[in-house]
Amino acid sequence: MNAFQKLIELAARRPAIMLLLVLGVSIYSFLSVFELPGLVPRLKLDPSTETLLPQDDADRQVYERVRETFGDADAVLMSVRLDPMFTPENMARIDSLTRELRQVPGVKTVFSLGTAPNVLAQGEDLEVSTFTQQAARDPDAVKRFPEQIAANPIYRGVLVADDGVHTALAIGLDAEGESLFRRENYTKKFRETAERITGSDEVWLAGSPVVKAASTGAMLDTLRFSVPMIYGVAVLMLLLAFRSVRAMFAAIVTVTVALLWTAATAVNLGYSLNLVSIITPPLVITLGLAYAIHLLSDYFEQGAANAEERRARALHVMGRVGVGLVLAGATTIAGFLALMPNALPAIREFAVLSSIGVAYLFVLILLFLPALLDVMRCGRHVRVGRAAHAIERIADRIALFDIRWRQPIIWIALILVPLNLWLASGIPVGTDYIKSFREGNPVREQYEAINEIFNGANIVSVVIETHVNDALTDPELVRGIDELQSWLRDQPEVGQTISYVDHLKLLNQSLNSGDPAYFAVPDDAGAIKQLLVFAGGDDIRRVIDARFRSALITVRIKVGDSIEITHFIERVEKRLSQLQPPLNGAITGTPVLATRTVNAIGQGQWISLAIACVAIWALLALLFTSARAGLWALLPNLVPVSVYFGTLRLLDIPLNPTNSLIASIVLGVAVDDTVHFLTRFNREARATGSESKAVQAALRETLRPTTLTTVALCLGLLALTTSELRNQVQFGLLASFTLFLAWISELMLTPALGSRLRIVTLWDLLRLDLGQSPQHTIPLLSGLSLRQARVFALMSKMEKFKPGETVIRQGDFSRDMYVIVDGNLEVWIERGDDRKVLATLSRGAVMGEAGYFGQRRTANVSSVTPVRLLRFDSNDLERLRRRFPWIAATVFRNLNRVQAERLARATAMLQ
Amino acid sequence: MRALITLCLIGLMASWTASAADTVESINACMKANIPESLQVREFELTATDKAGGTRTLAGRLSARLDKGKLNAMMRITQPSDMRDAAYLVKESDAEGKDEEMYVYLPALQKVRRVTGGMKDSSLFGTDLSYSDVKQITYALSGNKLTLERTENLEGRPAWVLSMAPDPSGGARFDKVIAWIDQKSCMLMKADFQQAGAVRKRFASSAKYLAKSGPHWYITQGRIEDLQEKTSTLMRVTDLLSDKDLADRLFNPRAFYLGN
Repeated sequence: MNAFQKLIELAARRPAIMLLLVLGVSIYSFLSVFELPGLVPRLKLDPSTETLLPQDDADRQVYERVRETFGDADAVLMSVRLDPMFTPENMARIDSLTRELRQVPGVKTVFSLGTAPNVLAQGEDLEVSTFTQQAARDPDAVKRFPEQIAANPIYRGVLVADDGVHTALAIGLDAEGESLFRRENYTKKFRETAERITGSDEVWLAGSPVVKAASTGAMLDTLRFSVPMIYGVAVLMLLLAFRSVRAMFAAIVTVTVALLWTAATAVNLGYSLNLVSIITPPLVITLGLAYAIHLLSDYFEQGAANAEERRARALHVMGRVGVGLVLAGATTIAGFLALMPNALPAIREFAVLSSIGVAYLFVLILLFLPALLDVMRCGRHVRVGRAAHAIERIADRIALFDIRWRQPIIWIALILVPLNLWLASGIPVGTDYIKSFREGNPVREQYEAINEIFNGANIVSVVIETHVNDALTDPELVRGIDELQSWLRDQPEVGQTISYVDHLKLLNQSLNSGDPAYFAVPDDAGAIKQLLVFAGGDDIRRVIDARFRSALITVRIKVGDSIEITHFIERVEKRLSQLQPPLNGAITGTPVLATRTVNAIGQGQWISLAIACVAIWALLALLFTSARAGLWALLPNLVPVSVYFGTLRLLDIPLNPTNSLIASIVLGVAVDDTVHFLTRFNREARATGSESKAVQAALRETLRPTTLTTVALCLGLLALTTSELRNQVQFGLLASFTLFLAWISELMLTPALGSRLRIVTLWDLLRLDLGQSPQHTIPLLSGLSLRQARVFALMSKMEKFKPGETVIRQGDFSRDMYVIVDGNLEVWIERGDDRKVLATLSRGAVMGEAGYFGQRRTANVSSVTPVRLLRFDSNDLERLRRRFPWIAATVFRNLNRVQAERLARATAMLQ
Repeated sequence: MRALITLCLIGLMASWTASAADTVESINACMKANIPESLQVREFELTATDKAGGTRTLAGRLSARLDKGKLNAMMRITQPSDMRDAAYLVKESDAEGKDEEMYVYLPALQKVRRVTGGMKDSSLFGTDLSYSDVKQITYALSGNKLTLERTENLEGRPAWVLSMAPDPSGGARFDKVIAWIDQKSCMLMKADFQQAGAVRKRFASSAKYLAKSGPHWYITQGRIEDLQEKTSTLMRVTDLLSDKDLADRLFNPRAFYLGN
């Protein structure tokens, strides 16, 4: 604490040093975040869902293994409308398009009519050239293509849609292609190439790379818009609130520095911004703004004309705001860190990054902002406008309302929380990545068009593994896979499936002169292997490995909603468990991983939230030195969060990776306001001795910053509603709504609860000075520990008197008694004009007990030296009995002992 | 199989020394003159390694001869046992611009089929080479689109570095091939297959694998790597005989699969 105090003093007395320190760290941070020359940002964006899962996750390992063995499953799907499709000219165009696409850097494979062999069996001849080659050689052959494709289960509905006028090209990318895809705008490039070569004006693109690129673009656009928008709102709010350009500038600089430091930390930790942690920058800005408003509110309460006054003010503000800021920062960090047990590294990264961001904010707002304000000579005069008076009047009315309707308010809160949590138990978990784009968005429209025309645009894979060489050439096992594929085709979500078994049956038929009777699995393992090895070609390598121990069934599904995919996955997994040994099956692919991720986030949500609540409660209990006080302090924050979940259920909005963060964020923000209110309430309650007055005073102080913060946060979050991604729009709306609820709760519930709480903060406990060993030198505190003695003192009222002041007046009615902490007092009565001193009291003495027991004061008590007294009445002792029964029992025992000794002395005097 | 045959042919470039001036024509002539009239490989072995490190080995015998300058080659598989006696026959067509004829015999089906069309771009037996890849080297090397880039030392031996740009209309998958030709043996020791400026495949051998059959040089071992797919195929050739009399039936589509 001393070190912290020294730091505060350094910042107040040597602001330039603080500014230089921050400047140094900021330059380092800038160089960490941006690569020179060119200012290329080092902090990357990663919109993929598969990387959200942990490295050792079983599903991710299967996915990686499949990619490793069979190549990239996330191809770009291109659909080109050519009407009529089957002409030699259009075949030549498709061939040219295929060639040109293959020349694009990063393109690994192109599967199209230009590369797919059209196997034709005629007597002892087997023709294996592609459709386009056959068309070039024999233009008349084109006429037979529709029939040949319709008869081919591998190409039917895959290369050419059932409508006969749309052809598909599957463009496989390598690692370079994946990284180039968004940077070089391959979506546009591919489309323009296709339009130029084919002359078609209907070229559609879908597939994971397209969706990922569009999602990244939308995320970047949102960031590009929302961050300046939030800044704009912040500038406006600060100017309106404090009417000082310099204060606004200082706050904006402070928040920006915190953002820069946070970004640098992310780079140094090797993090990239993913679908979850993308929220961190707006969050740091908005929280920073909230903290800055709290500090500036106190800062502008007093003017400072010269350097000494400015330093004194800085010290005062730091000391006053510091407590609230420490508590608020600690609870917010606790809320974020509660996400750490989550299985998803992306959530953990978000928790770490946000916590670090809040810690930076805490340091900068407390130490840097006052130093900057000082250097800028900000706030020379107090500005109390009409608005301030109006706010005070409103605060007073709210306080009176809260006190008057205290019980109903608390009861409503107590009913709302369990009711909404019950509603929340039925919230579905899921998202639809395609439908997260707004209606009319080209990505969504084209995906839906391809999905409809080609009977599915989402590709999942069923991987079959045996761990036995050549096992997949065993006819019995091959038939088992064939049956599995038939079962898959019967599922309502499935549009198309392809496996090596299809290739095998086609090869068998082709090598038997095209006889349809041979479209079957050969009975001999040797025949299967020879067909696959000698006639298979490259297509086979994409669906079965070279050792014939693992194979891939490619499944096109027509659904994109993670809830529907979850049901499909569950059925497939159940079916896979029935495969005969040594066949082992697993379902994988980007949609599967995305679904698993969404489900993991949803399932982890409740655990994280529970941990967050427990962590925040524990912290509040520690800070307020009472489990019960912690629980009451938590209630105003639980209300908006629980209502938020209840609203989700009522509006039938599933929990998704983006909106699942709202609870944690609101909890973090709302706890700040609660802590700010309660610490001020505590200070005022101690100063005034009246809970009602303290509620009023605390609300006067906190209403403006709390309201400003809420308005700023809501406006900032509403900036997200301009996003192309519906999830982010939804996030902006729901988060604003929940923050608004938190604000209502903060104005209604927290004061209502505060009026019946006398809290003792840890800060108070650590700072309270009761002199040397109070438990040994003050008989009333005998048997207590130092902490317990301080708790008793804080539950009482500490009063100070100058020499000569009257503490107790003879004849008064008063129900409190005193214990002297330090100083000397005289007990005296008046005898005519004479003043007769009955006794001199010093540290540890108890006085005024007659009043405590309902009698008039029997003598006067005046201070001789500067005096500090602890004053308490029966209400204080009753509160102590309820909250700290052990301390109360000891104090009652000691009080009894003091009274007994006094009675014994009086009896002895009478005798 | 044709890839293997062609590679063997590349390996059989005679020991015509590189004393002539370093021009494309002289190098071309050196390499062309090294192709024997016939050859027989008593045993070859192809070991394909997949991305996971798993290997699969195919062994067999190869017979090839030039008939009026056209390649006739037959390969018969001896290992593994479930592939034994499967056979391939490749006959280059006399007609200008016409594709090769390929015959395949699958013992399990007891059928011979003539395969025409796009097999040349497909992987051969699950290895990392297609017939087109090798054809690009051999035919381009013997063609007129060569450029002598430079000479440099490869494993301490002087080598010509040639580049060639295959005709894209021929369906070539690679837009450039760089070849390193050992000056002493006129043997291809290394080749990079480039696509869109990046090396996609690489063939590499070593001087220590150079051997001689009579007057002819050949390579006993070479590796082809698919740098994109991270797979490779190791080729080993043992006991190669050149200019040997070979029976006609070995290259007859109606009899090539019968006996040894």
